[in-house]
Amino acid sequence: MVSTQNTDKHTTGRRRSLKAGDRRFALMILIPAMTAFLIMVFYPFMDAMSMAFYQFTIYDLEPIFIGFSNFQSILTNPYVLESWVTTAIFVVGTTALTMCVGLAWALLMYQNFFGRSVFRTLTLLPWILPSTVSAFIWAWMLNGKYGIVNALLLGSGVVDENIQFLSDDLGAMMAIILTRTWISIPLFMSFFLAGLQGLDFQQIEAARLDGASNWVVVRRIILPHLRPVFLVTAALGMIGNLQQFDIIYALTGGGPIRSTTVLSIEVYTQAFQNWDLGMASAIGVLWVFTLMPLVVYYLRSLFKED
Amino acid sequence: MWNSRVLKKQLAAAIFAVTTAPAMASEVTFLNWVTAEPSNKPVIEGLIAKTGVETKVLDSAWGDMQKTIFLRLRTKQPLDVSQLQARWLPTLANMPNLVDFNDLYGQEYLESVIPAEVLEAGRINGKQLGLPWNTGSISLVANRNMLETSGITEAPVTVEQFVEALRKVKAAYPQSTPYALMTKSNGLITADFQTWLWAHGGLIFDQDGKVVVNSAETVATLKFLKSLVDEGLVSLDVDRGAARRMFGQESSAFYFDAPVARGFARDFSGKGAEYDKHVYPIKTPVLEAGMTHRAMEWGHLLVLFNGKAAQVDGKLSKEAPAVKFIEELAMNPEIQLDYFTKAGAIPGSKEARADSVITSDQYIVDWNNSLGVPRRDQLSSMRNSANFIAAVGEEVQAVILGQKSAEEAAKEMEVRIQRLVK
Repeated sequence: MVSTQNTDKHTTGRRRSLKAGDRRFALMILIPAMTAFLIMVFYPFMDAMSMAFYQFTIYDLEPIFIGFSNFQSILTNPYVLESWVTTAIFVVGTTALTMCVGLAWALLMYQNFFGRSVFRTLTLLPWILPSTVSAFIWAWMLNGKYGIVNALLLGSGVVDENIQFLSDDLGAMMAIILTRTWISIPLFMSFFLAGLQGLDFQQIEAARLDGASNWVVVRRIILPHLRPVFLVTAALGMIGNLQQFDIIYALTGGGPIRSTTVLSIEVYTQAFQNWDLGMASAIGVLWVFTLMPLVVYYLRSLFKED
Repeated sequence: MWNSRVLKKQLAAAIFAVTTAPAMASEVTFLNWVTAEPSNKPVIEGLIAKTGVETKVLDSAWGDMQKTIFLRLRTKQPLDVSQLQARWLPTLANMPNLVDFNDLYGQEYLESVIPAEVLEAGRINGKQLGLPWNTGSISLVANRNMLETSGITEAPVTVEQFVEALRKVKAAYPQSTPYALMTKSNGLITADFQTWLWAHGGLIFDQDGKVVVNSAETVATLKFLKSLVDEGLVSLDVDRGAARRMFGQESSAFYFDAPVARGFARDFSGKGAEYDKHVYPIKTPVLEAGMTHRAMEWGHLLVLFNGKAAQVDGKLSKEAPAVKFIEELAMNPEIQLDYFTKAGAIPGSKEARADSVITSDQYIVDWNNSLGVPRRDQLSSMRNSANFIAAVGEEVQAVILGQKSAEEAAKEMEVRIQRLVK
C-alpha cells in the first residue's frame, strides 16, 4: 500500500515536473517572438499612445505634457469628426462591396468548368501586386484626361466629355472603394471558397430535386452554411479597411477637399504636414478605439473555435 | 632590435598624427529632391563630384522632403546639408542645430559674394539660415509653338486677353488643356490662386498682416478660375509633374513654373535644347492694363546642420567638409554655371550671375522681364503653413468643383484664416 502511494506520488511528481518542463520549453520558444513583439510593436505602440498626452510640434524641442488637451481639441475639431464619418463610409462601403463580389466570385470558382484552376490563380493577381502599384494603376485608369475608363466611356458614347473621377467628392470615394475592393477580392474569395469546401453537396442536389432555384439554393443552403465565415470575414475586412492608408494616399491624398480623408490620412496630415505628433497620436488613439470592438470580436471568434 | 625601435617610432608617430590631426568627419550627408528626378540626377551628381567633398547623397521626392527632414532630425539620423524650398524656411527655421551662415562667414562677406536681395530668401529674423542655391520666380510659361499655331502673335497682357488666348488654343488644339492650372494639391492650387489674386489686385494679408481675403478681388479671382473650369480651358487633377509633361508634349500652352521649366520642356518634348525656342516666360496678365504684374518669389536653399561634418575639433568651421560642400555649390561660379547650362537653374552668386553665359541667354532675359514685381507666397511663409494652405486650398477647390459660390468661399476662407491666426 505504502509502495503504491509512493509510486502514485512519484508518477504525479513526474507529471508535474513534465508539465513544468513543457511550460519552461514553451516559454523558451516564446521568448524570441515575445521580445520581437515587445520591441517592434508593444513599445512603439505604448510610446505613441503616451504621446497623445503631450504637445510635440516642430516648434518644441522636447514633448510638453498637456494632459487631455489633444483629446479636447479633437472633440471640438469638426474636421477630425468628419474624418471619422468618412472612415465609416469607406469601411462599410468597401467591406460590403468586397463581400458581395468576393462571394459571387467564390461561387463562380466553386463551379466545375474548364480552366477553373487557371482562373483561380489569375484571381489572386491583385493580391500579389503591391497595393501602391495597384493604386497607381487605378489612378491612371481613372485619370480625367488620359484614363482608359474615360476612353471607353467616350468611345462607347456613354458620356460626351471626360469624367474627372478623382477630382469629385463622390468619384474619389468610389475610386478608393473600388480599388480597395479589387485588391481584397482574392482574400475574401479564398475565405468563402474554403467555407464552400465544407458544404455537403448532397444537400444542394436534394434541394434541386425538390425544385429549388439557384437563388433559393444560395439563400437557404449556402448563405446559412457560410454564416460563421461571413462574420469572421466581415470583422477581418473591417479591420483591414480601417487600417487602410497607402491606397488612399496614393490615389487621392485624402482629397478633393478632405472628401477621402479617413483617420489614417488625418493622422498622417497631423504628423507630417502640421508637424503635430501629439495631435496625431491622439487621433491614433481614437483610431485604435474604433478598431478595438472589431478586434475583440475577431479574437473571441478565434478562441471559440479553438 | 632595430626593427622593433623603428616600429615603435612609427607607432608613436601614427598615434601623434591621429591625436593631433583636426578631428572632423570625412563624409557629408546631403539630402535633396533633385537627384530623385531622373532627368536632373546626372546633373547634380556631376556638380557634387566637382565639389571634391566625399558625400553621401540621400534623395526624397519633393512632396516628401519636409517629412524626411523632420523624421531624420527627430530620430537623430545623420543629416549635414539639406536642400529646401525657400518658402519652407519659416516653418523649418525651428529645426534644431540650423547654422546661421552669418556666424560662419559674416554678413558683409556673404553680401560681397551673393546679392543682398538674393540672400533675403534664406534670412529669418536676421539670421542667414539658408544659402541660395538657385533663384528665380514662379512665372507664367507659354508655349510659343502652340500660341503661333493658334494665331496668337503677342503675349496676353490682361486677364481678358489671356482667356481669349486660351479659347484660341482650345480651338486650334481641341484635345488640349490650354492652361495647366495645378489643382491636385492644396500647395499647388494656392500658389496659382495667389498669383491670380495679385493679378486681380487682391491679397490674403495686407501690409500690416491683417487678413483681407474676404474681398471683391478674391471673389473675382475665384469666379475667374471657375469660369476656366466651366469652359474646359483648364483640367482638374493636374499636378506640377503633369503640367510639365503636358506643356512639353504640346497639350498645354500655359502653366506656372520656375526657370527650370526649360529643362523639363527639353525632356518631355523629346527634342532637347532644340525645343528651347518654344519655351517663353511671360508676365502674369493683370485685370486691367497698367496694373503691376506679379510673379511669386521662388528659390532653392541649402541649409547646414551643426553636426560633426560641419565642425573641426568640435567647433563650427569653414574648413569642415559640410561647409566646403555648401560653399562650392552655392558660391563657386564654375559649378553654378554648370548647373545653369545643364538644367537652367539661375545661380545665386554675383560672379555667376554676371557671367555672359547668363546675361546673353535670351531665356533668362525673358524670365527677368516676366517677373514684374515678385511677391513672397503669403501662406507658405506662415508658421504652421500647412493649416493656412489647407484653409485656402480647400475653399478654392470647393469653388472650382461647384460646391460653394465664390462669395461663400471667400467669406469662409477669411473665417478659417482668422481662426488660425488666433
